[in-house]
Order: sequence, then structure tokens, then C-alpha cells
Amino acid sequence: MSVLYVALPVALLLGGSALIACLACIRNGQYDDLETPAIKLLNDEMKS
Amino acid sequence: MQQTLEAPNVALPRSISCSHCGLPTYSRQEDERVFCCNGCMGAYALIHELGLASYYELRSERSVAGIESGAAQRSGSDILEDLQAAGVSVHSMSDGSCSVRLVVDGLHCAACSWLIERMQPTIPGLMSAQVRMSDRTIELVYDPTRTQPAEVSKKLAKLGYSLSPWTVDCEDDRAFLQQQRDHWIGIALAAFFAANAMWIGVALYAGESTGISLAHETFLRWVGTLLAVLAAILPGRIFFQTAWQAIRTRTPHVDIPIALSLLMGVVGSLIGAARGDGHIYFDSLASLILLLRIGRFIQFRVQVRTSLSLSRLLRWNMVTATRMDSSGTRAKIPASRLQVGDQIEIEPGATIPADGVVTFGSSCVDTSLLNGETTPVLVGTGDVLVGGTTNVSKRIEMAVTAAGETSRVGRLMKLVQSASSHRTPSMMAADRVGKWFVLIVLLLAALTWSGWTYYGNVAIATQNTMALLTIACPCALALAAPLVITVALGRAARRQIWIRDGNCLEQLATPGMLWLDKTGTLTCGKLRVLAWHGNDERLQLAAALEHHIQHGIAKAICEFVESTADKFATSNVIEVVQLLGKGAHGRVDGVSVALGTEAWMRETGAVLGERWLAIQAMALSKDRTVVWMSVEGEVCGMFELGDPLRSDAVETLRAIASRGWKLGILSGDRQEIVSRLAELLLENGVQIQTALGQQSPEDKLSVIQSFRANLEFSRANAQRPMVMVGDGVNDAAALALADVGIAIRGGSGQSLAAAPIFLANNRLASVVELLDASTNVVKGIRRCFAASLIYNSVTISLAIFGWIHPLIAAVLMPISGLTVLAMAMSTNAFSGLKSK
Repeated sequence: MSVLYVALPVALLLGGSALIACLACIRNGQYDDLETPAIKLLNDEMKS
Repeated sequence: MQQTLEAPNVALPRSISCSHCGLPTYSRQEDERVFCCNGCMGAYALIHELGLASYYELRSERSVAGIESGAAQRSGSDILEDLQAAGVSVHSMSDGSCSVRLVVDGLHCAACSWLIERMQPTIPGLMSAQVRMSDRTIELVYDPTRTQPAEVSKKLAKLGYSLSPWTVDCEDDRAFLQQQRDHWIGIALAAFFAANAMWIGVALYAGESTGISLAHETFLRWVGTLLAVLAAILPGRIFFQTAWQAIRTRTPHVDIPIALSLLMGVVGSLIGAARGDGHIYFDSLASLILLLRIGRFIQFRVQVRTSLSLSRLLRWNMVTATRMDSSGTRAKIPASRLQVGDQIEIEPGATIPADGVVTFGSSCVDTSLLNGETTPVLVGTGDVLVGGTTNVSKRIEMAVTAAGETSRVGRLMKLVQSASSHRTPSMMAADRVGKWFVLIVLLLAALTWSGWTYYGNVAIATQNTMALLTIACPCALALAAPLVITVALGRAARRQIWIRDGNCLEQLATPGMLWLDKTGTLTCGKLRVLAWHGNDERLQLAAALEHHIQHGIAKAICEFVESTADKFATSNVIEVVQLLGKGAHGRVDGVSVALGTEAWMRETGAVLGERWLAIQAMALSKDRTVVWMSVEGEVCGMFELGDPLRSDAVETLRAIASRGWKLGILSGDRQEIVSRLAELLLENGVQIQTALGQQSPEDKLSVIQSFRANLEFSRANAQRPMVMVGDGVNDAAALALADVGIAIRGGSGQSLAAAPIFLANNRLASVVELLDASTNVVKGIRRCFAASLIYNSVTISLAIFGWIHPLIAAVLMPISGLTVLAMAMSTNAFSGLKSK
């Protein structure tokens, strides 16, 4: 049996798990505000 | 003013920046830290006490405006004491805590959000305080048994931020978040399917040229088809839904050919996969869905931005009022809950919350918000007050005669709202073009299909029709204008030109009629000393006295003296008396000094010489305000004050006129003043076509309406836009009704919300930048449209005659999209100007 029949589903599964992680992040509200987190990061850098 | 009586030793004006807010101030301390007021000193001390001193390093700029507006609205925080009454919806959590979302005023930069969030551990019972910069709101999660939003609000008010209720319902907010998440999820899914379908497609193309086993080819084909069908079912669902709705209501919609093409793509992919010899559609289908979803997201963002600014406009109602009942107890309530007949108290510095009649006390009222009048008006018992104006000097009581929507400002606001909902001609034209495009494409598709079925066979007909529908996808056409405009809006924002509605840019490209407000737009909007008649040595005495008076004229005199003299002597000022509308006197280093009107001079016993009366007559004829000065009962000088033209006004007007615009002035000021201004401008080479004075807000509205009716009557001029440049509530309705309203800083929040364009940089010259940018935007859109149309007509004709391989169609489709994207990005709007 060709390795293609294993490699392709595995590739899709790997990609799919990343997609599911991304969807979870979106549902979690991580994409609601793309402005403030960038600023917060800077703030904590300066504080330490 | 009152503390000056006990404070005989005052170090006199020397402009230093306040350590907290950065406003120029007069030093009151020997320390290296200097504060303009006790509020700033308190805020500075509080910030240090809490160990948050790095705020001063973090802030990107001295955010003067924020502190000012924060202070002005500080009283608004009391409104949160009764959350129910203020209409704030509180969400109770399962663990007993509550969460509310409130609007923060005075939020400017990274430092502000940092500071607010660092406040959280210092307030017992406050579990979290999350600032969202994108819509300037904060979410408070708190333990209701230990603290209340009003407590938090009070603490934040000390730092110069004020919290107010979020007028858009919390439900709306949640719906918006959900929609935004749906868009992100759609894009993420579509991207996943498109990327995977594409690499499978690449494998197949490679296989075609290098050879591939039939089993592998079939396998890849089926997996790719499965991905594309999933893409059409999951993220592509919305297109089928809207298309279905459009069909049911029998209205042509851009989504119909899109849905048809997607459907044919699905069918084509399935047939191709089943027969194993057809062409590959699935990768183009998946990437098409991704591009379409991105286009939808851009549209959604533009719509939200518009509705958000409208909700800010409605926030005017959140002014608080202090109502007194018959027993004399006072309660703070939102101005929107005031009723006719209520007795209310108005503190100095507060905004008058409704229309009414003064029942007790006398004060000065700043009506510049309403009619552009720069000099405060004296009011006493029985005088009529208009909501939206500001009480300047003393506490007064008032009986409400009209509140909320029936008040004058309320009615204006309604006009603004209805004007905002008008659809612009360009939007309607775009709709029409979209509909025609859809109909023509559908017609051509039908012709192609029947033609090929008649002369060829069904398989070829389906293949060619699908190539046509895919390649003729109007997405490049539909994306072009929003993209060019979005790019321009972003670049404009970097220059502090905020544009709420992208259509304005299209409209400003054709020269039309440009109306300007006078006060605050052509002029600086604030009184300045234009001339001083008398001995310069006396200026020190005038400044010493005026420094203790809270009045626009006193401030102007102080500024003038400061700019002429090198330094100030320390003076001992006592016995300061101020009489509203007349003047002031006091003893400066033992010398009696009086400043004020002619009548005030007579009252204080000064002798008025003929020479001075002549100077006064001259000044008055030029429409300037005159302030007399006497020392020890002898007139020794005279100030002439006026509201001068902005330094860039003449140059800007000349530049606007040279671009083919006609100019007009609409002012609330007296007709003579306006006519004289027009003459002055003519001498400087600027032709003013119409100069109208004594215009009430309603008059301004009808002038714009009637001029527009005239313009539309002569059909040749139908495309010429009416533009209004102004500030203040008096311009709000006109700003909104004009085709394009441009608000300039210095006006009130209302006009900014009413006008689709706001020049936050306070430079009149930005109007010229805007006009140039608009021309470039329209050129850019036309270039994109032309490219898209040429592409469409060429490829559609090729597809009709079956010369386009669906494979080439699939490759060309994203390329045309990318070309439009690149052309949009390279549009020369605002890019020729240096960013500040």
C-alpha cells in the first residue's frame, strides 16, 4: 500500500488539529479585540 | 477666585507644564513638580501612592485633552449610583459576582489602559477590570457585597477617566461579538479547506505532467473534492442562504451568481471526481470561498464602524442632572429622565441638561456650543436657558420646560439621526450596477449553456458555463472600492483625519459647493487680544489682576501679557471684586486697578478722556470687544479683543477655490461681520460666493437644503456635492445633512459624531489634503474598476466561446483578485503627505 494513503490523512489530521485549536481560540474571545493585547504586552515588558 | 483673597503672595504667570496633565500653568510651588490645579496634584499623589509612577514614562504623549474632558464629565460618575435608573444591564455570574460593561472617557493610549487595569487590585471587591481599546469600553467584574461600579468610577474619576453607561444594549454588544466570531470562524475554516485543496490540486497538476498512477489520482481527487464540498457547506453556507432569500423576495443580488457558481463548482467537482477524467474544480472552489469570506468580513467591519459612531452620538443623553424636590433634597439622575416642571440645580462648569427658565441665581452661560458666540452671556432669574450650553460661573436653579427629545438640542439630534440614515447616491448607484452585473452574467450564462447544448453537448456546455460563472465573479469588482477606501481611511487616520463613512471620499472628488462656519472654523474660536493701547509697563498690573479672574477675556489678557513680557514680577493682589458682564477691580501691590467696560469705568469713578472714547469707537466699528483699564481712577490703557482668523485660513481657502470649489460662509454671527469677512477674503484673492450671517441651526439646515434643490434642478450639476465644514451643535444637523460634513476640532462631541469626517489635528489645511486624497481615491477606484471590467469582458467573451479552459479560469480568478488588491494598496491617497 502506498504511503500516500497514510500521509495524506495524517497531514489533514495535523492541519485539522491546528484548525480546531484556532476555532477554540476564536470561541474563547481571543480574536474579539486585536488592539489591546498588543499594547498590554508592551506594558508588562516595561514594568519588569 | 475666592482663594486669592487669602493668598496674597502669588508667584505670577510663568508658563510651565503641569507635571500631571501637561497643560501650561502658572507655578504655585517651589518644587520641581508643578500642577495646574488641585485635581492634578491629587491625581499625581494618588498614582504615586499606588506605586504606579511608571505611568508617566509609559504614556506616549501628554494627553491634555483627556484630562480636560475627564474633568468636565467627572460629575457623570454619580449616575452609576443607581444602575437600574441609568439603564445599565448587570450580568450576574454563577459565583455571585456581577459584570458590567461601561464606556470610558479620556482613554488615549497604552498608558491609560495600563493604569486603569493596575487600579484593580487596589479596590477591594473588584475582581477584574478589562479595558477594550477598540471601542473604548471597560468590563468590570466585581463582588456586589463589597463594592459597586460607582466606587470604581469615583476612583477612576480621580485619575481623570470617567465611566458612563453603554447606551447600546449589552445584548447588541454580545450579538456583535458573536457575529464577529462567526466571521473569524468562517475565514479560518475556509482558509483551512482552501490551503489543503490547493496542495492536493498542485499534486494533481504535477501528476498530469510527470505521470501519476490512476489509484493515486482518484484518491487525491476524492479527498480534494471532499474538502471543497465541506468548504461550500460550512463557510460557504452564507452565500447560499442570502441567494435563497434574494430569490424568494425576487430581488437580484450579487450572491445569486456566486451561489450558482459555487453550486456548479460543487456539482462539477463531484462529476469530475466520479468520472475521473474531468478537469479539476475543487481547488478554485475552495479558494473562491476563502476570498469571498474575507470580502464579507471587510464589509462587516465597515458597517460596524458606522453604527458604533452613531451610538456614540446618542451618548449625549448621559449628561447628569441634579433634581431637587419640594423638600429640597437633591438626587442625581440622567438628563434623559428629566420631566417638564422639574426643578434642577446647575453647578458652575456643568452642562445644562435641558431647556428651562432660571428660577434662582445669576451666572454666565457659554453658548458657543449652540451658536458659536464666544463671549459668555449673562443670565438671571426669568431668563431662558438652552440645553447643551455650559454654566460658567455660579450655581443656578432652573425649572425644566423641555427635556430629552423635545428640547432644542434633542430635536437637533433627531435631525442628525434622520440625516445620517440617508443613503448616498453613490451607494445606490453601486447597488444598481451590482444588480445589472448579476442579471447580465446570469443571462450570458443561460445563453452560453443553451448555445453549447444545442451545438455541442451538455458536458461541454456545463464546463463552459461554469468557467464563465467562476471567471465572471464580481468579487474583484466588489472588493475594489472597499479596499481602496479602507486603505485611504487607514492612512488618513495616521494623519489624525478620522473618516467615518468611506463614501465621503468618493463625493469629495468632484468640486461642488463648500460651506464654512465662521466661529471656530475660519477663526480660532477663542478671544485673543489683538491690540493694546497704552503704556506696556501697565500690562504687568493688568495681568496680575486678571490672573485671579475666571473669564475668557481675563484669560486672553493673561496670555497676551505673557507673550509680550519676558518675566513677571511677584505681585500682591488683594480685594479682588468681579462683576459679571462689567469688569473687575482690585489692589495690586497697593495700587487700585480696574479693568472692564466703559460703564464699569464710570462706576469706579474713572474719568474718560475723548482720546479713549475715540479709540473705543474705532475698535467697536471693527467689531471688537474693548476692555478699559484704569489705575488709581485714571484711564491708562485699552485692550482690543477679537476672534482672529486661523493662520492657515486664507491659504487653505485659496487652495480649495483653485481646485474648482465654490465657497460659502454660514455663520450665527451678525450679517455685517460676515460680510466684512467676505470682503477681507476677497482682498486676499478668495472669492466667497455667498456669505450668510445670523443663521440659526435650523436656518443653516434649510440653506443647505434649498441650495441642494437648486443644484439638483440643473441636471449638469447633479453630481456636485454640498460640503459643510464646521463645529458645534449648531452645525450638527447641517453637517449631517450636507453630502459631506467635515467637523473640525474645537467643537463639541455631537458635531464630531454627526459629521462623517473629523479633523482631529485641528488644521483647516487638512481640508485640502482631504480633497486631494479623494481625487486619488476615485482615480484608484476607477483604475481598479477598469482593470476588473476589462478582465471580466475579455474572459467572459473567451469563456462564452469555450476558449477558456476551466483550469485557466481557476488560475486567473485569484490572480485578478490579487491584481486588484495590489492596485488598491498602491493608490496614492494621503501617501504623498508626510505623516506627523
